[in-house]
Amino acid sequence: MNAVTLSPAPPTVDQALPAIAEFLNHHFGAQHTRIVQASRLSGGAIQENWLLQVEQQGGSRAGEQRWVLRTDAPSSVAASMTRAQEFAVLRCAFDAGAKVPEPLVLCSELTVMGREFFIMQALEGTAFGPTLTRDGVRPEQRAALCRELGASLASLHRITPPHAQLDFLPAPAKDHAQHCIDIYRNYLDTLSAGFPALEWGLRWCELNRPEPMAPRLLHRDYRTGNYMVADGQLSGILDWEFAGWGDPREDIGWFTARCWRFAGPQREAGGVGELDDFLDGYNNIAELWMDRAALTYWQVMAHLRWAIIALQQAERYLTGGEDSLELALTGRMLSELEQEILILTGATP
Amino acid sequence: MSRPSAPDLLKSARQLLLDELLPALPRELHYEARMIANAMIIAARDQQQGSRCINEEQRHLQALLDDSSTSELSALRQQLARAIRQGQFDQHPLLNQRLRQINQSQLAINNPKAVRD
Repeated sequence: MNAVTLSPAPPTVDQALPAIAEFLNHHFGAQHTRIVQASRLSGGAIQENWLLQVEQQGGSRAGEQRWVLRTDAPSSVAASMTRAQEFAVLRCAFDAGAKVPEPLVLCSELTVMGREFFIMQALEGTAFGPTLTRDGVRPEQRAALCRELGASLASLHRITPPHAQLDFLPAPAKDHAQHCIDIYRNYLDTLSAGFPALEWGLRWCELNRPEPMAPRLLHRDYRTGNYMVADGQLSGILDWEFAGWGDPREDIGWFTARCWRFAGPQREAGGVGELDDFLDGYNNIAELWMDRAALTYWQVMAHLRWAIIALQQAERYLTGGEDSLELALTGRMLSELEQEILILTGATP
Repeated sequence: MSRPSAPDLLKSARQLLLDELLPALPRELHYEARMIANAMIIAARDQQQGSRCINEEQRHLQALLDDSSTSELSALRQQLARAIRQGQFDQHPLLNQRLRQINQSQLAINNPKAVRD
């Protein structure tokens, strides 16, 4: 064993709790801060999320608090954004009026935990797609929920470049759709196999490209499964690490794509409700004209994007040495995505 | 060939997993158990339908490319993928239909419930 190259492992979140409590105590100007309980939330191989029950005496957040600590997993590989950047995006979204967990404080000082982390308000409810699209939302609650989801997305889309707090985001492409097509093709070119159905989808998107729209801040993973709902109401949008500049219609295509409707494939707004309610909610905040052709276009693009991600995940299993059954099965999902691409592009030759 | 066949072994093993093991497992392992059951049924179907599926795809691709001399599936796929990107199939009347037929036999293996007309 070569001890010289080993660096000490950063402490786990449990181990760092006293230091975290001290940091929070100082930040909120409290007399005393106690972390009553810390439990790791499920999901997230790249990031760790911990639910903290905190008691503060004095200071700006006195009382009992339920907060979430978000940090990189110790073995984290190629994350799309640093926690500081994600915190900045969350802050901008919150300030713009999108329903998101309130971002409270970022800690970039590695002396506290050895890794960057931020604290945000914990949200109530569930994000689990199969539940929300089966019986987690009552029929009479669906319309209002869809309007809330539309309004939050529109609030986010009011943010435009250039933006001082978001200067770390890659500059927007002149034509977002063509940019996506180029990126997906470049990825396919790294694989030895050919994918005629995906190539057809990409070619169709190239031929039917809409006039580009001015870039907006996109969430880029705005879909059922990534927002929390409590008693039929939206409690907040999660998972901001893919945010970037682009055509706002991409987020709507992603949200409405059949592959994200779980148990409610007949309900076009994310499996939870009707498209018209979602678009109504959106247009109450920001005007966006989206006809059926544009919606179909961005739904094709959504399935292409998911297909590329599925191929990337399968590749981790096939050639990346990750023996994960979940990754392996993702490869077998490709044919479902291809079917949707062929149906959507077949209806409008 | 030894009996019972590979698909039968997989299906019986899967049934035992779902009927006896799954109810005895803690909730947080149900997702994993269902993934295993899903992988087993896909493997069983692939064993039964895989070679027919490949033959059909080969026939469709040869017809689309008007090339009966190439028989290797991976070469046919690459050839068609390249031609589509170059725009050679923009107006082809049967491309979508044939790709859908190929897709349907693949879905019949990977997820028959998802097949749509």
